[in-house]
Amino acid sequence: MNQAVLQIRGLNKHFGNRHVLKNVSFETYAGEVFGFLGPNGAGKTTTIKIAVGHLFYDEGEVLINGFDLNKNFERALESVGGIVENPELYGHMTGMQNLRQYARIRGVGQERIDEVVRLVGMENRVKEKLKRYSLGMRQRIGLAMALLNRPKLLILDEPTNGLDPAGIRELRDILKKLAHEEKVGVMVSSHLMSEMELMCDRVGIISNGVLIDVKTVEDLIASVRSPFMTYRIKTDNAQAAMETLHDINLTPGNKTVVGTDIIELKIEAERAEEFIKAITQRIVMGGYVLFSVTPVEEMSLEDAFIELTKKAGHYIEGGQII
Amino acid sequence: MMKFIALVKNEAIKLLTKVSSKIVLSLAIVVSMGVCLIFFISLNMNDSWRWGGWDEFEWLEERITEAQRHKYEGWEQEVAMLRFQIEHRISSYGGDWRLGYAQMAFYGNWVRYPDGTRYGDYLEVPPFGEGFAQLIVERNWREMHEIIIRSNAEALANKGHDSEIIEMANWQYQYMLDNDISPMEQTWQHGVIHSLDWSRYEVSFLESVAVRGDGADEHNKDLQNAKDSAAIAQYRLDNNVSRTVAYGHTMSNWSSTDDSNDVWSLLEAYIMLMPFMSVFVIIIAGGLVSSEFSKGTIKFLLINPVKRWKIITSKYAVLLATGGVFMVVTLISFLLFGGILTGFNNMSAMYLDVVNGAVTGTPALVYFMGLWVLSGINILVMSTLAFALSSLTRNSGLAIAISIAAVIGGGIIDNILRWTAGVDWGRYLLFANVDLVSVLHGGNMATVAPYPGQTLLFTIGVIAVHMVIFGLMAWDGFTRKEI
Ligand SMILES: Nc1ncnc2c1ncn2[C@@H]1O[C@H](COP(=O)(O)OP(=O)(O)O)[C@@H](O)[C@H]1O
Ligand SMILES: [Mg+2]
Repeated sequence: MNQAVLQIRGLNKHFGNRHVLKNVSFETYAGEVFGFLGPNGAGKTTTIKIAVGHLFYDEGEVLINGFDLNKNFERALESVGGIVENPELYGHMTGMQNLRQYARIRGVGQERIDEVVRLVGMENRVKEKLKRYSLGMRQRIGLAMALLNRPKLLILDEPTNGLDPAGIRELRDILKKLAHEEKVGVMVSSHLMSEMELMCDRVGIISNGVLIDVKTVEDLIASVRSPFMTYRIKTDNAQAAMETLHDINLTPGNKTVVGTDIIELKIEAERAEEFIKAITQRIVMGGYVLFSVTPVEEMSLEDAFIELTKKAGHYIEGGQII
Repeated sequence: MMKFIALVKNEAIKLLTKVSSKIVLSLAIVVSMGVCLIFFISLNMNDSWRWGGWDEFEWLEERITEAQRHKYEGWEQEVAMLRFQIEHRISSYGGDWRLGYAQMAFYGNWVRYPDGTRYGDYLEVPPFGEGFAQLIVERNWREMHEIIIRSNAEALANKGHDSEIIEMANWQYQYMLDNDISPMEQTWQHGVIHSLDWSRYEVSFLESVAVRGDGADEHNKDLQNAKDSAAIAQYRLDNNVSRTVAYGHTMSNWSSTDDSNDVWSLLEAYIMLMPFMSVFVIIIAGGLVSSEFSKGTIKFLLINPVKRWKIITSKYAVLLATGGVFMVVTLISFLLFGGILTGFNNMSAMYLDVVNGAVTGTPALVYFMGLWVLSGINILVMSTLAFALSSLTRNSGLAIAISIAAVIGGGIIDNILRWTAGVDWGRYLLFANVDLVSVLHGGNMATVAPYPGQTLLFTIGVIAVHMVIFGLMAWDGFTRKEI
């Protein structure tokens, strides 16, 4: 396993008497893209703000590159680059002037500035005043700023906001390259599962301030996918055809007659082939017509994710945690 | 340390690239030049209202007709005098040197001074007559002075009048003769000679009366003041100091003489207005911290590996530098503009002070720079208040509004406390202490008058306490609150 660049342990945070982070613990390792996934208001931004020192926390421990944020703030933040919420920069200065502000404190030279500007594809616009930039262009300059000091930990809060599809893909490629080739630990928050699926190696799911689970993307997809597939069989007499299937046991799946000519089968996904073969044979041999077998559209990844976060059973209603 | 320098540089660049700070600075320059122009105009207005379009000599003709018709006592003398005035265009108003001498030629009767002042009925001196008037026409002032001195001395010997007054007058005529100071040119020496003489008379008078008990302190103070005035006048004559400056002096005799039509008079008035110039620095100070919050740029600023107190300190450092630049730039534009308006005259003016009986001279520029630095403390304190409020409230509008209200309303609040409410504890508030110039030299229309017994040390203490409080406010708002 690579070195942990961000370690969060037992993090608790209240806003007034509202408990918004409850015992959150996770790690981000060098060389991976770690996705921080959760619906709006889950506590993603709060966690990120704590990690970069914008918010203070009530309990827990935050280590960046091994340095405790509270005890060794400057050393800890030296290895961090990031964007919190929207990249808000000085509108009355050019992109280059904004970058230089940051470079000065980080002790970064002009060469590196030019390099990151090229990396985010802003070399043509960097001499313009920032107030003329679109949100996507500001995201790019923000990313360039976050990368200036070659951070060991790159934290991006919903970085795809305002980017067009091409920009999103570019960002994805940049982040993957940074993690996999330059061994940066990248932490990206998002409320979109589909985005995470394409970008991340591991994902932590947060809902209402509780970190529900941390998984690899493969495990996550597997877990949200139902183990059952639903197939619809169209025949001339559903009721009669159903009789021929009486001894085929789909347990724990089931079979039902839907209307006069359709049978719906819920089959364990892994044994689908085997069962379909047996079932179609029975119907045809029983003398019934087999018009078609169609898989029913499965639950979307996003729906599954919503289900997943709901399962945690935490709701916030009128500010009360139930 | 390198990081701190980088922070300061960043803050300076941020501020300098802003259009609004350029506007504020340009506005400050325009205002200081505008103030200069207004002072200059009011300094030069006296002559024009005095003369406004009215022909004095026509009016003198009318007076001759009046005198001839009514034939009141002494009418012949008056007619002779008026004719002489009309013939030689001697105005009774603009300070014409011949006027006083003409009166001696035609009226007599008074001990006269070269500056035109007269003391009534001490002497029965007859008019000197036409011969003397002829000397005026010939501008032979030496001869005239000798005649006057002789006549005064005779009158003194004959009638035993108040010798002090006559000796005083004669000393002046003699001094002018001895030092070749002509009354024809209205030079600065006339006023100084007169003031020296008057001060000497005051000293001898005050020394001749003994005061005990309650009035003794006051009496000694008056005596010391008279001695100091005499010493200063003597120093001016001995060292040829044509123009002296002193804070609060020109404003109290704003219409005095041509001597004061120079950049120092303008500068003196400017220093009284300095507390209001702080408004420009307050506008900048009020936005330094809060604009980062309103624009959201604070998030990028604070993701830097720098502790927050260093960032707020770098911002304050830039505020101090800005205040300094502001003061220097506005002063230089004021001085240049004022210098051009007044023709850069009286450049060698001095501030004279008496310490243990010895007169020390300070060049006017040095003297006013001292006052200017003192008045800068006012700007420092009020802009620090704006900075602290900006950090604490994260709202530039509020920070600027409260600070400007404090600048403008401070005097009003102090007045209400002191006079309306009749309480004394206003002396512990910032308002009564923030303007060191007033504490040292007395208040003026723009500032708060010092409280009785208010010392400089006390004032510095009050200012220091406030600065510490403002510092804590700024620090607390920036480092201890979440963003
Ligand atoms: N400054 C704040 N004061 C009070 N409540 C806040 C503050 N910031 C965030 N919250 C609340 O904390 C919860 C988590 O917010 P956040 O971390 O922004 O969620 P997200 O996952 O969408 O980024 C939300 O319920 C939000 O309303
Ligand atoms: Mg968020």
